[in-house]
Amino acid sequence: MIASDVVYLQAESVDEAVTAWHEYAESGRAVRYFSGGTEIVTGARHRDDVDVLIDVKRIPELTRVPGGGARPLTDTLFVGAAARLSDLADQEAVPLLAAAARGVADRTARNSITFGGNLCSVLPYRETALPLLLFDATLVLASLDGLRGVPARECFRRRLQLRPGELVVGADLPAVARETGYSARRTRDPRVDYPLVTLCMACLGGSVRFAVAGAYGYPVRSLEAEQVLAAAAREEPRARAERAVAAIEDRLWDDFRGSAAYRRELLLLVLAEGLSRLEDA
Amino acid sequence: MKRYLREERVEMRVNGETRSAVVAPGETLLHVLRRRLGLTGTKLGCENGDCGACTVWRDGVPVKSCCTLAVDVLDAAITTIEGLCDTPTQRAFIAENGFQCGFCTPGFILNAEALARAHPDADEDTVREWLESNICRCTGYEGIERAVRRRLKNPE
Ligand SMILES: Cc1cc2nc3c(=O)[nH]c(=O)nc-3n(C[C@H](O)[C@H](O)[C@H](O)COP(=O)(O)OP(=O)(O)OC[C@H]3O[C@@H](n4cnc5c(N)ncnc54)[C@H](O)[C@@H]3O)c2cc1C
Ligand code: FES
Ligand code: FES
Repeated sequence: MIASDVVYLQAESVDEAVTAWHEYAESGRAVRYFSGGTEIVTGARHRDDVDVLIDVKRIPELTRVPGGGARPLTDTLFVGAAARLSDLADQEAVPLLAAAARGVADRTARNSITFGGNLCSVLPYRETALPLLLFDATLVLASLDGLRGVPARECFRRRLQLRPGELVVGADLPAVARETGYSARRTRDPRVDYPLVTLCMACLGGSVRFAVAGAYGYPVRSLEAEQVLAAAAREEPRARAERAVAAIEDRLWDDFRGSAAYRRELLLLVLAEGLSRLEDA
Repeated sequence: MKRYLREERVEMRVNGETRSAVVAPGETLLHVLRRRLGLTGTKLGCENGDCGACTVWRDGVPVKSCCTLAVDVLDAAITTIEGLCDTPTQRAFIAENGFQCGFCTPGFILNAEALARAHPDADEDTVREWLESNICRCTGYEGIERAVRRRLKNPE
């Protein structure tokens, strides 16, 4: 249950959603975009911090799934922010996005949770951000000034850097995002659980790239770590993984699910495994 | 743009019938089904999206009604456990003793019947992936898994 005086709107276009956000915000109300709604609805049991919800999942552009067709005249794959994670898990055009989506929550929850909701989540995991960071995707954002494209690595500094009222329309992935790559997810509970480590990895043009969620308090891709991997190309996978992880400046996460040392060890294991697999391939 | 500004009377499609209810914009589907429509087969468990006791179908797809706003599904057909009658899954749960206290059973049955309709030849991985959405606090998983396997083998 959300507070009984909350207002709920169903936007049918990007313009309608963005305009409504500003209209209500200017009258001093707390406005949120509402997509799958799972985080907002469950969060409302603990907090009462929303007056107006603008549902965006009936906006046609926001529901597109890759493989539903590359955008005309461009070589990219577009993923709409209101695409449901179960649909992303079932699509085959971007295998690493399918794998990331499949890891989140459980099947029934993924029938509601959306890509944009996962990217904007207050929780630290945001696993579907990993393929965006890995493949240098462009986030498409809408405001009263129109649309702007921002490279995922620029926009995703710890969390999505959105301006007030900005709507995530979706993400444009380059054609290389069709690469299979390697992914791994390690949890404490073998059933449904938040990740201790989720790794998303690919070898593009001879260079290995990787992005990680769960191990740090937010999704991370480190170019320094990738350079270290490339420079140590002759060493064993485990030794290279150790050098690469040491080059990541962010602090490993430490909580009741797993200590920083445990998360580091799991990260080293999956990273070394990924290096072996990609190089064998 | 549709706007729901306050509590109002709406029509909902539930179990093949058109039902009328007074609904506030912030009310969950779970709450409306149980309190406003008297459909108490949908169970209130964790109210946090974790347990699956509140599972219903939105246009044939399982969703958790505790994380869904009722006003968000007025354009969908909702099915609750009361809308399933003598389905192969229900018969299989009886045959295999797929329940103990029965609290989780409506959620499991809705999920399993949707699985069997979407994937009649579901492999072990697909069955595991779907069933992970529901928790049985009595830990009667063996009977539940047997019932789901029986349902997949006996679609009639
Ligand atoms: C049972 C369960 C298990 C989970 N497990 C995992 C997990 O393992 N890994 C993981 O990464 N996450 C996990 N999550 C978290 C989940 O991915 C997030 O809570 C996500 O926000 C839910 O998506 P939604 O579409 O329902 O979001 P909503 O509730 O609709 O929105 C969430 C936030 O995003 C904002 N928002 C939504 N869409 C847009 C948009 N287009 N533009 C701008 N802002 C927007 C909303 O205003 C809100 O602040 C889990 C959640 C549940 C319920
Ligand atoms: S009551 Fe909805 S998932 Fe537990
Ligand atoms: S039978 Fe009691 S919770 Fe499952």
